[in-house]
Amino acid sequence: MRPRLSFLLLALSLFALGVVLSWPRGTEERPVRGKRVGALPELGVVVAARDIEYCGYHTPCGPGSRTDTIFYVRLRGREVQALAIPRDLYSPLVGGKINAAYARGGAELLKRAVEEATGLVAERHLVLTLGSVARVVDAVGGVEVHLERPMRYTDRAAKLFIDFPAGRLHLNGEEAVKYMRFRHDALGDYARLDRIKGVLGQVLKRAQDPRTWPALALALRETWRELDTDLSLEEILGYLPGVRGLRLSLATLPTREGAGTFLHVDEEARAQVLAPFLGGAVPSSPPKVPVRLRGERGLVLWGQAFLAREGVEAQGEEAEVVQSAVYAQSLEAGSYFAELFHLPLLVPHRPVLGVVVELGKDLLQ
Amino acid sequence: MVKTLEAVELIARIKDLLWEKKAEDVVALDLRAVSESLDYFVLASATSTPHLQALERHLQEKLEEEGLRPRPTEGQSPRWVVLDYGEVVVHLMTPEAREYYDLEGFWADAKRI
Repeated sequence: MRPRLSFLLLALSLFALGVVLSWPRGTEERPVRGKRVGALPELGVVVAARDIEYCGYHTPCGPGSRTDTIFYVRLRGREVQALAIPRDLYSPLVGGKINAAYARGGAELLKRAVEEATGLVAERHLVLTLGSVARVVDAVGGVEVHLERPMRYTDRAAKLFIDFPAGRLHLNGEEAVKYMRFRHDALGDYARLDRIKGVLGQVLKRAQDPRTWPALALALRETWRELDTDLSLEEILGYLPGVRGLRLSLATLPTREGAGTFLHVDEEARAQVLAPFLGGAVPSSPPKVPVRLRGERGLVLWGQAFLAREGVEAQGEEAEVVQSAVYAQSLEAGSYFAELFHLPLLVPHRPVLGVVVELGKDLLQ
Repeated sequence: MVKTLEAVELIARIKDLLWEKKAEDVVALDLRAVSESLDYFVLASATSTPHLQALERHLQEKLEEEGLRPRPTEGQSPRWVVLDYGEVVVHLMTPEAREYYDLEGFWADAKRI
C-alpha cells in the first residue's frame, strides 16, 4: 500500500504543479510583446560573398562556390565590428586557402575556418551572391566613390568589364560590385578589402535613413531566397529600424606572407586588432596620436575648432571627400575619434599616420 | 522654438489629412529624446495597397498645395511608403507591415503627441 500511496501523492503533486504552470498569468506579468529598444542581439556572423561560376566560355551559370570576400561581423548592442579576412589566408582546417572553405565543406567549414583564424566565435553565417549585394546597394540609392586614377579591367571569360574614369562617381549596385571586385592594383586584395569596407560603411550609413527602409526591406525579401544563411529573414527585417544609431568599425585581419601566395595570421598584431572585438572600451581621453583633418576648407576649420575644445590640435588638409569616415591603423585611437564625430571607423590596410578624419558634405545633409 | 512649433503644426495637418482619407491608427511620435538624429514620425495604417496609395497621393497633393514637397525616397514598397518632410517623416503601412516592423516598439520610450 505504502509505495502506491507515495506514487499517488507524487502524481497529485505533479498534476498540481502542471496546473499552476499552465495557469493564465495576470496581464501585468504577461509580456504582451517583446519590448525592443533598438539594439541588435549579440552575435558573431560570418558574412561572405560568392563569386560567379562559369560552366563554359562566356556562360555564367550562377553563384560559384568560392567566397573571395569574407568578413567576421560582431554585433553587440549598438556596435558593429567587422573584420575582413584576406582570401589568400592559409587555413590548416581547410588544407588550403580560406576562400576554398565554402566549396569544400559548406558554411559549417567556412565558420570553423574563420573561428580558427580569428579566435572568435561565429554563431551564424550569411553567404551572399553578387546579385544580392548589387540589389541592396541599389535599395539604398547607390554609393559615392572617389577614384584617384581610372579603373580599367577586362576579363571576357568572367564577363567582367570595368571602365571607370578618375574622379568622383556615383555607382549603382552593379557598378559598385565591379568596383569591389577589382583587385588589379599594387595592393591587390588588401586594396580590394579597403574598397569593400568603404562601400559597406556607406551602405550602413544610408540604411540608417528611414527613407531607405521600405526599399531595403523589399530588396532583402526578394534576394533572401538566393542566400545561404542560418539567420531568419523575420529576425533581420524586424530589426531593420534598429540599424539607426549603429556604430561601425571595420578592420582587416593582420597577416604576413608565407610560401607561395599563401598568407598567415600575424599572431602578435592580431591580438592588438582583436582587443576591441573582445570588449575593449573607447578611450575616455584623447589618445596622443597625430590627427589630420581632410575635406573642404570650411569643414576642416570647423573640425579643428571642434577638436580644440577637446584639447586636440589637428592638422588640416584641403581634399575632395565623398564620404565622411575616420581612418586609423589603431582601432583604439580611431574609436575615440569615430565616437567623437559619430562616424564609421575604417581601419585600412594601407598605412595611415595616426588618425585621419575625413569630413565630407554628407555631414551637412 | 519656432521649428518645434512648425513641426507640431505640420503633424496636426498631416493627421487631419490622413483622417480625411480614413487612415487607421494614426500615431505621432516625438523621437527627439530617444534618437540622435530623428525628430518626429507619423505612423498610419492603410487597409489595402490601393488605400495605401490613396493616402500617399492625398497627403502629397494637399501638402504640395501648401508648398511642401517630400524629399525623394529610394524606392517604393507595396506595403510601406515613406514621405520625408524634413523633421517630420511619415510612414504609411499596411497593418501587417505595421505590426511586423513595429516602429512604435523600437521607440517605445518616445513621447506620443
